[in-house]
Amino acid sequence: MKLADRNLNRNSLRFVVPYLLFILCWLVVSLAVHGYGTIGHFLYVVQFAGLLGIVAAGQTLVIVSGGIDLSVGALVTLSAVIATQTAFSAHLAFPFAVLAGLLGSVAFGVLNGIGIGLIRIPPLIMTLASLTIANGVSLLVTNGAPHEVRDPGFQAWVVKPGALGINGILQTWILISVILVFMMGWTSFGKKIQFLGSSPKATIYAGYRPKSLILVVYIFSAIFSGITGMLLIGFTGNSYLGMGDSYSLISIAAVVMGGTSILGGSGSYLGTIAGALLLTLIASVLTLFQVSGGGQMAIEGAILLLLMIAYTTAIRTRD
Amino acid sequence: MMKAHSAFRKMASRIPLAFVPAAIVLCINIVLNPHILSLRGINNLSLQIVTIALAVMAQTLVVLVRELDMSVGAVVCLTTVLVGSTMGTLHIFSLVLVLVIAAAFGLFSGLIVAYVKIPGIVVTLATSMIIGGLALVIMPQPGGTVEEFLGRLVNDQPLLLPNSFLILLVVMMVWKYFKNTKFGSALFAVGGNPFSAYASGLSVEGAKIAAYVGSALLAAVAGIVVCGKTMTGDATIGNPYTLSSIAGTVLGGASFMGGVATMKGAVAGALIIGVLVNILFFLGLSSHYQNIAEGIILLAAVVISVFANRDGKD
Repeated sequence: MKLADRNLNRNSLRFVVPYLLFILCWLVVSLAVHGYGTIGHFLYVVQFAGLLGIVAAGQTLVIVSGGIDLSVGALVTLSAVIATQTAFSAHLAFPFAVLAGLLGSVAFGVLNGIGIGLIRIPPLIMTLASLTIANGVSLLVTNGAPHEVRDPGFQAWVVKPGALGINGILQTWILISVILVFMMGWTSFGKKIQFLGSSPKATIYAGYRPKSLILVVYIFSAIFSGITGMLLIGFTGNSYLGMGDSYSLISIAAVVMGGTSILGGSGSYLGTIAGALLLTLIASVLTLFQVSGGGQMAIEGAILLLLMIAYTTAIRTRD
Repeated sequence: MMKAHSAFRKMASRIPLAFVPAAIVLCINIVLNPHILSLRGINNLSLQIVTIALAVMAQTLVVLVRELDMSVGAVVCLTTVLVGSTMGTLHIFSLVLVLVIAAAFGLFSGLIVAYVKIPGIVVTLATSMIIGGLALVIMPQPGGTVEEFLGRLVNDQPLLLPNSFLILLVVMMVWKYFKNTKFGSALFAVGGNPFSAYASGLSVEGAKIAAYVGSALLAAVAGIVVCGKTMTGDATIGNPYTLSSIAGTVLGGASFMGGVATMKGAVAGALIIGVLVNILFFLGLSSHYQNIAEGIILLAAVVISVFANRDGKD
């Protein structure tokens, strides 16, 4: 109980650090690079951060509950591919196609939840298996060929600034953020998954049902991946294999960067938002300096590693 | 009579259980495709399985000390890239260079896991990004030069047995020697129960570091064999090995709780995966199904091992 208390108290301030880092990086970048630092650039960064932030919302829930979800990237691809394919070959109306995409993603969330919660397969291995299977299904569905989305209304909603000058991606992200921050901070569900992450055994003794909690957490993660998949096809106008792959590791990096403990039990979505913003800003700077895909991957890996070391050492010295 | 019986039991107990399903799938493969028993067929099968087996052994070493290594595939990628890009100038020494660099990365991961005490899964997830990214930076497109001798070393079979199989045999022999040293038994002790290992004066940190260095070295050997097979450097060729290595380790009977694993089991696990892929291919299933099949094999293996361990405990 004492440990849980301390974890909860520590949460209250830790998420401020990534925001300060983001503001610092923002100032440096806007002074150093011509054309950066404008409102337009800010909106550009924020909309890409939104795509990442929504995936990372599920990842935050999973990591706080003591698990890890490697399948999010594959599920982004799978939902996108299913949606465009059903719209293309079954001639379904676009809302139904979106529904089909989300359902495909949720099916894998249920699979993850059952494997991890009921059969007690280690989360990493379970989600690795569903990642592979989901990639296989995507390949089967598309036969390897990219497909276009033909729904101008949806694409316009996603990309063009609407109410209050923000586009569909941002509207969705803000909605999800509000729901998630409320859910994690003010509901019993949020408290329960924190307890689950700090001590699964104590959760059972406290009378909660870890199996159903785990199931719900992985279904949430799959839904958020599916939503990003839908926004991504609206944004790019087509779907192709591997389009979501990079989200798996980057979403973990965003969560860790936001101050959530990789060991589970403590964390907040407010921190993850800052993590997503910071990572997107860094990626945009790297792209500007024409760092290749491999180089970006290596730098992001190094950042993830440094942050994990820094946070873990900080916690240990404070205790 | 009694004596013979117990001698047989003793011998049988030394063979890991995983060889039973391995033998079954191998028989199915032979029935489906008898050509596999020809000299060439055996060489092809060996080439296919040895790389997986080395990757599985790399993973098994880390699983032995209760950790996981997500960077096995990335190390295979980096190895092929480094061999491809340095062999033109360094010749045979490029293999030495590759092993040294791989060991350095293993040491790096091991030090962080042991001393910062972050779970090995996430540390190696990050190092796999670094290693895989570096491989892509060095060689964005497949290419490079691999000298003829490496191809012959890996692909030929002058002694009837395929060379690739002999490489595996040598690695197994090194492990057999290492296992019985003080350091080798420390790996088993630390994996079995870190607290009592610590209490009896063993270095838990040392064992974890050694496991990660060993894992990186084995993954690098796998990469070198892959290089001899394909004769190019390719920064993405190794990625599937991470998944296969975990699946093979589970199939080989290793426990994720650490302390229980055999390298013979690891080879059997690799055999099951390699042969199953062969069978799927021979049954005419398109390569599109391969991902799904591998995922299901991994899942089935884990579910079986989870239930088997649960029965043992309850």
